[in-house]
Amino acid sequence: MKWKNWKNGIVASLVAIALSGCMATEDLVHVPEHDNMAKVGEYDTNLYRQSVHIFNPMPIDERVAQFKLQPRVDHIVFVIDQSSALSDTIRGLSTQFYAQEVVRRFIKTMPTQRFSSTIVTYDDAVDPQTFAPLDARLRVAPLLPLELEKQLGTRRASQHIEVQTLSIALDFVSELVGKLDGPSAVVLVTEWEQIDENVENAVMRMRQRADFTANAHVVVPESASVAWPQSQSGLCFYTIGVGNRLSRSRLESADSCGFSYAVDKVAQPSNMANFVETVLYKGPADNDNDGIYDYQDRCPETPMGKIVDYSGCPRFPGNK
Amino acid sequence: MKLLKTIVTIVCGAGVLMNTTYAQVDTVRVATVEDQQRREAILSAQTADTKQDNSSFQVIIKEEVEPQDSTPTQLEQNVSQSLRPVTLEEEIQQQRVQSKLELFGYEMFANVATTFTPVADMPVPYGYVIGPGDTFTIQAFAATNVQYDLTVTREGMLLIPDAGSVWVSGLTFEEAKLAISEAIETRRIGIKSVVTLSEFRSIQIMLVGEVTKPGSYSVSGFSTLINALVASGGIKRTGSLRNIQVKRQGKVVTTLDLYALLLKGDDSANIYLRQGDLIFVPPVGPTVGIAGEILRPAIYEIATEENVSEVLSLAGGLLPTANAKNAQIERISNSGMYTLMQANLARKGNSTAVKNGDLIRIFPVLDKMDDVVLLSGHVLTPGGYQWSEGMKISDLIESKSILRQGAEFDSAMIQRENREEKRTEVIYFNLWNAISDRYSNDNITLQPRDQVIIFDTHSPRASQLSKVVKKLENEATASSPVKIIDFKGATPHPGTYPLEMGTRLLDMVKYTGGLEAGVDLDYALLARTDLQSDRLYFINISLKDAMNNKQDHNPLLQPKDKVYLFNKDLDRAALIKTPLERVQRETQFGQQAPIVQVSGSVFHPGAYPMVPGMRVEDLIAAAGGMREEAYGLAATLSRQVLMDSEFSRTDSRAISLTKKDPLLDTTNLILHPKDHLVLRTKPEWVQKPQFVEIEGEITFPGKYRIDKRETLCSLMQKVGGFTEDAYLFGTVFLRESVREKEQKALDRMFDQLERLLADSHVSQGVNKDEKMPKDQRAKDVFDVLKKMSPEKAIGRMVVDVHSAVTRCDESSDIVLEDGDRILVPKYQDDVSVIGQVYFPTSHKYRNDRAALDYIGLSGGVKELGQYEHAYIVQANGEVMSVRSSTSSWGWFNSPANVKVTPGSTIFVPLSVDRINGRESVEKWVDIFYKNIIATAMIANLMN
Repeated sequence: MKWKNWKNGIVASLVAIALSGCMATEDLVHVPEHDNMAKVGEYDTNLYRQSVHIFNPMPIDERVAQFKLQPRVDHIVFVIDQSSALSDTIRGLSTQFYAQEVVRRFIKTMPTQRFSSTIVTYDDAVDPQTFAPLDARLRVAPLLPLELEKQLGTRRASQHIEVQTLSIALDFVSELVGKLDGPSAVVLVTEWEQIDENVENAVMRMRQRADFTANAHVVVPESASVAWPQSQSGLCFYTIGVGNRLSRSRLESADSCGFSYAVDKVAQPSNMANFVETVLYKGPADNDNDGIYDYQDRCPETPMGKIVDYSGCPRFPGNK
Repeated sequence: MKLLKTIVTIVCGAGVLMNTTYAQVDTVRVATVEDQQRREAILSAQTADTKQDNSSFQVIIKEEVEPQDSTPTQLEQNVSQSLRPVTLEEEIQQQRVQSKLELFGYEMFANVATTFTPVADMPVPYGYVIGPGDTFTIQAFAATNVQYDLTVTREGMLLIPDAGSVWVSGLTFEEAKLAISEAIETRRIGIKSVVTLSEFRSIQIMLVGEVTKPGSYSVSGFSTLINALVASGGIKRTGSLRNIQVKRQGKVVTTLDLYALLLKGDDSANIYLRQGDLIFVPPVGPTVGIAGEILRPAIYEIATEENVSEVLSLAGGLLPTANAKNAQIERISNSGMYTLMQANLARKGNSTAVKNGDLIRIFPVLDKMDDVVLLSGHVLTPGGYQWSEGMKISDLIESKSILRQGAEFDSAMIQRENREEKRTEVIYFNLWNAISDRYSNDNITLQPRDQVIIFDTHSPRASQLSKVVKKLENEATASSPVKIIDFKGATPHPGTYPLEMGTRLLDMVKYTGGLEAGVDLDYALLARTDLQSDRLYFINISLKDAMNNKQDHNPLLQPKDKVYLFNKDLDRAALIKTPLERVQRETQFGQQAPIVQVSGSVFHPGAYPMVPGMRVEDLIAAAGGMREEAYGLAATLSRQVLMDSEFSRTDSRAISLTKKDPLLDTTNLILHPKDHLVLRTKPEWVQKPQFVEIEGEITFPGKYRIDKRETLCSLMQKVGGFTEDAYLFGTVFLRESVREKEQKALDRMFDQLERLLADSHVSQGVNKDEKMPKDQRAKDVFDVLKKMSPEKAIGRMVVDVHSAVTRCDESSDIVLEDGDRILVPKYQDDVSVIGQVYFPTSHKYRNDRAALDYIGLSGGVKELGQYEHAYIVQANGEVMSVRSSTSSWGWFNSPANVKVTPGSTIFVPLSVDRINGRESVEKWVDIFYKNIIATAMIANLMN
């Protein structure tokens, strides 16, 4: 103790000599050093990183029932890119795993009810001879989320396409979507870099085949000889991108349904719940069209044109 | 504690008075402290009275004069105290009742001289009784002329010389005169006599009782009772005026009632005093105070008066303004408390018996005019008018001639006092209908005390209505909210209006001056206060729907409603800022403030209240619609989403503005609180048309509109190409953005220069050069530079027009900007030499001549210039120095013979070395010269 004070005295005087001007401030702050102080690097920060792999789904069943959410689409098709482009490793896992995992999380978040749905996996052709693409007749079936999850499998879903490019795979999906009656949602999970001009065109073709307006202009498809049937039922196209978002997704536009999302963002439980709700549901029902959702509406049959209050009842009931 | 104290004081004060006080004090119910004090005052007054009584029995004339008139007696104080307000309602009337009452009659003695001067010069009063001490003057004449002054002896005889004694005592003066004359004339025959009384005897009287100066007085024998009282200083305020007794030998000979004298002039009891008379003034008897609307408000002593009417007649009767129906008698009841009795003086109240200590208050009639209607506002003859049964508006305003110029016909107002509810209410009516059609509904039957207010078209109505509004505000209670409404925004007369219950919005709009031209018919706001919770909410009103008989949009107005009308110019956000802030403030936990925002390409971006059922299209309508440049396909809606109702995140979604696709969120989307809609601008929107001007040797010169990315090449095709005389190399290309940059540089340089000038004035360290006088130097440099420098930059850009218009490719073409000016000059084959040469002039261009040759042709450089500093401004605007490296090679820094182009100018500047050796100066001069020359060049080229 004593020698330390003495040492401090020397240090202080040295400092005083060295910085004659700011001597006073230099000596005021004394920071003791302890050998047992922890360093940041010693913490097991990996522990926290692991938490992304734990997924507690935030089910939306309750919300669907409570808010009387209106379904947006009749059919839902997942297209999972399992091609060689997704063989990068992120945090010790291949991007293919992430692509599949995000769909699994989607399914786990879905409310427990039957959806006309299917999962399609795509791989770039390993052996085109063994898998004739034109034979691939994709179909949807009313499935519970649990059954859908079973379809997901590990790498290949029960419906699997092996073609050269993603755009061709999407054309197959167009074939399916074009035939369906009622609006459908397509969720494409792929790497961002996969979305090139061809994919863009494929998506545009898919949209046009399912366009709501009858006299839509159809971009000439890759094989012009094929006469494409049109469903006129509407399509929402969602993209979940894996990996580095180097290129902006060009698949979304303001005047068409659907948008794109990054996998690391959507994988969070709350975000996933929000995403699932947006894909599957339009919003709470409002049958009398008074601007007050049915679950809040205490007067469910307000005539048109009446000014209503927050409970959905006419503000001026006495008026004509 | 305080109460205890007061009780103790009472006990002390009362202990002096009587033994039984203890028992009384115990039974006193203490009502208020005020009562206590009042009672205390009464008790102490009584003790004071007894003390005075004791002392006044000593027959000693006190030397000190008591100030009689200045200090009110206790009685008066008591009455004054009890005149203080009794009840709350009375407080208002109290102002009209006198606050101070005095005892009646005592002022008679107020201003009397205190010395006792008997009256001697008066004729002998008839009936004066002669007594011992009176002196007679007797004159006997005829035979002898003698005069005697004779005094009546103690026996009552008058001893007259030569005539013996005459008995006169007991006779009146007249009798005595007769007796004396008789005696003289009978005893001395032939002698006539004149008898007169020369000196009166003085008599001794005594004043006792409640007089100012009790004691024994010697007064003239002529003195009457009143003389004696007045002369002796009068009666104390504690003495009775009504029962003044004169005692003669133990018997009361007369009793004087001074009130009879004062009120009726009756002095029958005013007798002459005699020797030994005793005047006794007893203490004041029972008193009654009377205050208010009476002729003589005062405290009266009562003698025979028994009832109110008699007291009133004492006080001279009621004033005309008295409200006889509602008088009050304040009385000390048997139980020892003050009580209040109402007395209707017009009826039985008059015969109410009065008691000692009563205070009668007579209130004035109510200051209210009944049966009157008031006409006010924009009329020629405002004021009150007589009301009659069944009177209508058209009876009050018989013709338009009483209206002033600019009177509003569409609306007028009646302010009415509701007699049942005692509340002010208003009725609006159409003045035109009321006047023109007697049987219209607007011709309202008036009630008494109605006030008809006529508006005018130009002045703000708020000030005219502020009185009514104030009244309504004052009358508001928790259960009946203030019946006013506010009109704000695009209305001719914004402000606060009283509300007529049962009025609908459009009616009220009419009464506030109607709808202005250009008012937004699709969007108006009604801010309504929920009368139970006092919270604000909004209702979107479409005036268009309202006018189409949709009652929902023309609702009945409620108290405290605020109506916001908008037009295209008004700053909506600022107008509704206050109510929105209030809504924001009132939002509690678990709720979301119903406010939505819109920004971007709408007419009025800002925050708007969210109403139930509001959709995106409503919000766009609220913001005045989309602007011209708005991107019509899609907008972005940012929504604040509460996750688990605690975590807030913002969720953006695209809103399709055109498509009817059910999959998309369209303008039909229902808004949530705190939504924010962003409308985009069309891509590459051109807000302002862009023009370039092209002049000179052009086929079709003029102003041309350009697109974005328009180039000089494409412009040239529009303008029809150049004429044959065009000198493309000398084209002047002026650009606004370049000019601004140059101007900035110029300004900065001047700034630096000025600063340097200031610096050089204070610094002493520049003694190196001896060429200029020390102090002159810096100033001169500045002056010279200022003179040389151009005022404005011109912004010439050196461009290769030739290759731009011939090649039209990316590398050589020029993209035009808004405001570009292109001047194409004629071909010029001369070269000018200006500046410090002997003959500044122009020379014919020749291919084989260069810069220095032309300078030589102009006579060479003057002494103040140097070859080395010469500049060449080429026809295309490039400035070259003869020293520049672009010139043909020579010695380093030695002047080179630079090639010149036709139309160029050679400038030999003033040698800066001659002014100052400083380098910085040289640099400036360099820049300035370039500017000057450029300007000069353009002028030169365009001529």
